[in-house]
Amino acid sequence: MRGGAPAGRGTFAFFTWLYRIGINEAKRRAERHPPSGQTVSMEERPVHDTPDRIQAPPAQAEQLELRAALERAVRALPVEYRGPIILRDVEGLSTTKAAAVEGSWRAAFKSRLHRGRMTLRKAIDSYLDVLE
Amino acid sequence: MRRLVLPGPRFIRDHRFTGAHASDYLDEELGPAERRRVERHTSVCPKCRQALEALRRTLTALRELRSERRDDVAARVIAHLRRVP
Repeated sequence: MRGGAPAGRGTFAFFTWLYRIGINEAKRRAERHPPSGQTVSMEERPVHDTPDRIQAPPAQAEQLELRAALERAVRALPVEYRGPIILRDVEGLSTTKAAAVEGSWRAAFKSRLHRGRMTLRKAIDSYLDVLE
Repeated sequence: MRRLVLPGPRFIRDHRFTGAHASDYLDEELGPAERRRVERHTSVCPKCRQALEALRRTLTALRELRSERRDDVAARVIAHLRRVP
């Protein structure tokens, strides 16, 4: 990789550099393998990370399904929305720090974060109804 | 006969404001007057109230995806971004 790691700037700068490697790689992968828009049946790609519903109590099973659905929805987000969601909402960085890691303007970061959140909210809407 | 009451212009403006700033509200990044504007509107708009609550629950669920090991944040972020949808 060109440039190498920034020297002598502490943990946050290292984390920023590492994050940018990841996001650049994610973008390259998205360019090489653009989403086909096809739906994949559960038979072709079963969700192995959801425990057997019969064994878990109903409320717990629904929470696990919500979690699995949310993880799928996050993975399905375009990388420009997935980055802000992971940095801000999953990893808990402040908006300012998360925007700095991305190298984005704060307003642009917040705009993409909001759109990512709205996309996820719609994706798990039916699961939220069940849990009420 | 039921009388149809159309929302006034202020309601419509507050409705749009609430929709556009729901994330900022939940992130506590609105000023006091803006917060009151969202709260006043959600007290009279069931749709916005439900949407805000659904967004709040979405953020709670996202926080629960965070693993407990705090010393490996960079590796987890990279792993998340590398996963093929």
